Amino acid sequence: MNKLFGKKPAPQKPIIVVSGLPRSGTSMMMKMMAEGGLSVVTDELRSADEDNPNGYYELEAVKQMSAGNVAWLSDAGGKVVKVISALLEHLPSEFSYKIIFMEREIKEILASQQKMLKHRSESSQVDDAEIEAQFKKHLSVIKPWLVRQPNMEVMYVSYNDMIRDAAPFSKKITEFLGAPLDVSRMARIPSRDLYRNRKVNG
Amino acid sequence: MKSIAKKIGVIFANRDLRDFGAISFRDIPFLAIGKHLDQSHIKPPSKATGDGQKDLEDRLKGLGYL
Repeated sequence: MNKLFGKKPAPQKPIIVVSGLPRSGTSMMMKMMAEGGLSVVTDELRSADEDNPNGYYELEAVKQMSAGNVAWLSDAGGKVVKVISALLEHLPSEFSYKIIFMEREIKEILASQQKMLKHRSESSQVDDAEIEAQFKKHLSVIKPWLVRQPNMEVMYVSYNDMIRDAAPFSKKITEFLGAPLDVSRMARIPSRDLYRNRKVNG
Repeated sequence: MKSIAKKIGVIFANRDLRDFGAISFRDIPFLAIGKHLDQSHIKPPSKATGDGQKDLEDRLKGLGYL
C-alpha cells in the first residue's frame, strides 16, 4: 500500500508554529496558545523584560535549524513553537505544520524594533525606510512561498484587529488548529493597556 | 461541472481517503497523481529576497532573533 501511495509525511500531529516579523505580536500569540491549553516548546533562556513583560516563549534551537539542529522537532507534534518568518524556510519538509502568521502595521513594528534595539544597546546601520522596504519585500516573497509548501497551512492574524476584539480571532484560531482550546482564556490575553503603553513608552 | 465533479470523485475514491485526517487542497496533487509536486525549483525566501537580505539579517541579529 505504501508503494501505491508513494511518499507521505509520517502521521505525526502537525507542529503548530507562531510566526511573523519580530515585534508583530508573536509572543502575545504564544501566550494565548499556552493559555488555551497547548504545550509550548521553549527553553525560557530569553526571559521577560521591558520589551516583552509576559515573556518571549522562544527556543534557542530554532535559530540553529539552518545548521541542522532539527532533531527536537520530532517531539513537537501537537505543540506550539515560535519561528520568525525569516526562519520558516529551515523547517524540515518531513513534518507538517499549521502556521499562525502574525501581521501588524509595519510602522508599529519598526517603532517597536527601534525601542528594542535601544534597550539592547544595539544600533541600526540602515535607516527604517530601507528596512521597511526590505521587510515588505520579504513578506512578498515568503507568502507565495508558503502557499507552495504542501506541508504547511497558514492562517494570517492581524495583531491590530485582535487587540481591538480578540474573541472572534480566538475562535477562528481554535477552528484552524482543530484543537479543543480554552477560547475565553485565550481572548483575555491581548491587552489594550499593554498596547497603549508600548505606543507611548516602548 | 457535474461531470467534472464525478471524475474528481472517482479519482479520490480510488486513492482511499481513510488515512487522511485533515485533508486540504494541498493534498490534491498527491491524491490525483500519487505524489506531491516537485517544489525543488522554488527558491527559498532568503535567496529570493535579493540585495537586502544582509540588512534584514543584521536587523534580526540586533534584535536577538538570529
